[in-house]
Amino acid sequence: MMKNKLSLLLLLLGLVSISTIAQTVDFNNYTPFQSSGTLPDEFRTNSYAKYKEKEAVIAKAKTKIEREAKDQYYLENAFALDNILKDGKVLFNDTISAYLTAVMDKILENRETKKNVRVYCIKSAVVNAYTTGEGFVFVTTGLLACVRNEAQLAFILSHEYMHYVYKHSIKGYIETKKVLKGKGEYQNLDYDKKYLARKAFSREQESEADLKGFELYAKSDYSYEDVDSSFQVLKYSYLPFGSVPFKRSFIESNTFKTPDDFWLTTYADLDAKAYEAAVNGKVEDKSDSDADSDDSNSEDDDETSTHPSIDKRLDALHERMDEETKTTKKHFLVSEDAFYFIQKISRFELVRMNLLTQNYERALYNAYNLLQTDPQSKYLKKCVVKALYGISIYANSGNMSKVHVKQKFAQGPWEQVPALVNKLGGAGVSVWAVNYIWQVRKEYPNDKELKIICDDVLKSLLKTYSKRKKDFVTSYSDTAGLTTRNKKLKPYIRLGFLDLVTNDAEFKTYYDGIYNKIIEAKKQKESSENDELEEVASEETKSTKTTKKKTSTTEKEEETEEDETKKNNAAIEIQWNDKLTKGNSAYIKDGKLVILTPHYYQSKGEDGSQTILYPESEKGNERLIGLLADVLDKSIPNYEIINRPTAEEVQQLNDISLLNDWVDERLDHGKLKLISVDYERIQAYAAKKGCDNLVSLSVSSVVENKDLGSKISAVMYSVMLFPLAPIFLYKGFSPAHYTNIYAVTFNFKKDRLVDATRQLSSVRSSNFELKSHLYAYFLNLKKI
Amino acid sequence: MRKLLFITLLLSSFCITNSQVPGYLGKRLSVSATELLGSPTWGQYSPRYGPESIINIHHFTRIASDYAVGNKTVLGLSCCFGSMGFFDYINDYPLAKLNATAIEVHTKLFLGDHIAPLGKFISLGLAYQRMKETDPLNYSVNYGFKEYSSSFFTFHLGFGANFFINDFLYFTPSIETNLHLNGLEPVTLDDYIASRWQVSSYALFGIGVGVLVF
Repeated sequence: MMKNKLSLLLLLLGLVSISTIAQTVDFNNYTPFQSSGTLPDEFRTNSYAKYKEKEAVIAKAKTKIEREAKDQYYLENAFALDNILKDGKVLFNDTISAYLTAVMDKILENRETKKNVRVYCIKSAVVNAYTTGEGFVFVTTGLLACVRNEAQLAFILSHEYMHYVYKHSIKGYIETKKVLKGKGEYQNLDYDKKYLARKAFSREQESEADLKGFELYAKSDYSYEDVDSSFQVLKYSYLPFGSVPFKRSFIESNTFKTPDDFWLTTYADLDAKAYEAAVNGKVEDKSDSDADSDDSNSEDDDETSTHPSIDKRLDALHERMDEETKTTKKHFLVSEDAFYFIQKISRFELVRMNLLTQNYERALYNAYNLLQTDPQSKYLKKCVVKALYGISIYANSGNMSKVHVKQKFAQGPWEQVPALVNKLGGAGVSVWAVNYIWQVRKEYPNDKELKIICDDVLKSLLKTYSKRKKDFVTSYSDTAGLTTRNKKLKPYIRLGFLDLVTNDAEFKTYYDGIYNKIIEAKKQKESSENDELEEVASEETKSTKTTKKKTSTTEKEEETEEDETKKNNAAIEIQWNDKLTKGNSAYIKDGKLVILTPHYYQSKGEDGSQTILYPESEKGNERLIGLLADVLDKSIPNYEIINRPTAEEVQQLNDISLLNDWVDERLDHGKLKLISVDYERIQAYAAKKGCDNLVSLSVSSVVENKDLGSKISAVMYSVMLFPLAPIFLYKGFSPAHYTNIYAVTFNFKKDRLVDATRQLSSVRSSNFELKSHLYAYFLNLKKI
Repeated sequence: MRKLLFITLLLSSFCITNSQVPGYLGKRLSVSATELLGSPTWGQYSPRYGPESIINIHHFTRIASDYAVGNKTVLGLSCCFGSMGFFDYINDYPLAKLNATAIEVHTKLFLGDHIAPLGKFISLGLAYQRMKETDPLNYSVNYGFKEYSSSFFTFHLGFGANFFINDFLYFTPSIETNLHLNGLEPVTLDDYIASRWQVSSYALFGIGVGVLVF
């Protein structure tokens, strides 16, 4: 009774905090959601300590194979879980997780196991929820953005809870080991059958979680109809959360008019099966732990799928539903307001995540959807700006295919965006972008980020397509002369800035200024090859030769398109030890360096395969941090190592999340020069810490046992050249050691990757060798 | 021509000393002391004391300073003091002794992916060596007649490794052999009074301690 009261109190407190935060979140100037308070215990405990806690459970295993599998499972799981918990993507002490916990409490009521279950929100665009063997339930912001009500969420949580109760994670792991080793019923199966057997086992577990989850759900007061609809959410998880038609008025101005055939009159029907067919052969198998993202939309069971088909799952549940009688039907039990608030935050977050992963078209459409209800949101407008910016820069550098969604993968009103981008091409999107950005800039004239973006897009456009200033600014009366000018530019592109140039003197000055700068840079290029601005122009001009071809022949055969794509992607992809740093020496020399969560991996190699030694890696990580401090004291004394935080350093975890996102995004951009999505936050971080550069560094130490062939050769040579036998035997039998350092360096101010170094060395990872090589790396970094 | 040579030498010295070589945590200069013991050899001996009863033992102390000029290369200068003792092991009696002093320039080439001065290396050296015989039983020898001393050039080839104890100290086991560019012949008289041995190549096993200076 006492316990119930306490739970009720906690729930009430949680809801009070939700409503309080709801008032404080300013969606117009939205900033990404962060964790707060004190770091929970599970975020602080070492992975190895977590594994050691399971010793008793491992000892209880009946057979050797089970014991080994359990041991490996708990070991791998402890480390995998820590990687999730400690990279800053999991939110805690936040409104969303508090709400999810409240919903979970509604379902579990007085269950004993309730205290073992912890529900967290994880920042990810994927529509998914998954459970670990330790009772952690992770719900992605992608899923929260798509669910329509609390009941749908409750059913998904019930399902996840049953994965925990029935220990599906570890059972699946042990079964996989048995299948791979061909034990018991899996004896004498060939590879394909073993593969299918694993998938079949996974499907059984999913069905069990459905049915048991439904039984649990049925005991609550949530409505039955939402069970069906929650499956629809999974079924159409490949679609954006909204379905607002994309209006022409959103992009067109007085002079930027798009041809009618750019606008679809009908959209492809929502058809999950057709979508699956379109991506067939390109969807990777998902791991067993990657549980509930839907990869099983077809009506019939796919033997290679980890989940039964949606229809089968629903049929099974309908049978069970018929047995139950439901008196109350509610979509919301905790709070309707809280749900919509959580959903809104998740959708706002989702747009940012779309941008971070270069899903610019989806980000554009999602932001457009949200703008319908929050038209004044600066955050959303800037998201639109950043989406158009991303498409423009990628397209103008000949890498459109890297960010463009093929129309066949889009259905419903969302199809309009990829269709439109495809028709507009790089030049069209850039003209649209400048028009749009200029309007937003007028609203927020002091926004530095908008200025940089606008400059970048216009420069990229002019450098890529213009031969003369008038290529983009002409008059209607001049249409007769259109054919004599840059023939590759369609009239709607060439006239795109006419309205702004004619009616906005400020824009005209700005436009002329940028154009003149480019001309000046071109002149300078002739006299000096080292001019950095000109270098940019040169690179982009080179790549845009392909773009020009591409924009005019968007419907070329796919084969040719793929070849071109490969060529252009290669041009922006980062190669290790590439000369990225020409002219950037000043960045590293005197600035403060931040080392972001260094990683150490110890692995053992045998017969061509490698196994990560987790406990050794964890210890090695601590050792590495100590060595780094030693080395940096002597090489770059102005430094700070950002390590995983202690209890009170929650802000540090938020910073790690921000920096990790930045690093990932910058690596995705490769050599492309565009500012990152979190540019303002990154600059603020750099200013707060007074740092100039960031190094993301990992060390891998490999001990590789010699194979049988090497050993036999050693013996043979020893016999033949007896005096040299000790050398041959030593070489043939002693394991090989490798110590590899991988490090990428970014400059905050330039918002750019300045160095990517890979140092491979055949030496032991002793403290002295490691220090010696790390020192050499940092010294080299100072030299660039 | 001399001026050109001088300028070239000056420039290369400047480049070597100012180039950004990591060394070990920035330390490029080290000083070391090594004890080298030669493998005992028989034969090759003067008929003065009778054949087959004599063992000679080489023993040297080397003081060296090494400077890392590249990631893989160390240049060094060393002084070597030592002796080659002849010992009548049957009668348990020390016989003639050759005292040696040498000055050597050497280079160490670090193997594999080690960064100098850490790890395994091959050493190559060119030494100018002076040897003088002492013999308690031989008047001529003890009075330092010219015939009983000699100077010559020798080349050495070795293999060793620097194992670090901490960030300043290291020890160096090594093995090397000497190849005399001109054979050691301190004795020109072919009689029973003086030594008549000739020095051939021999292996030296060394163990040294080094300290990183800066």
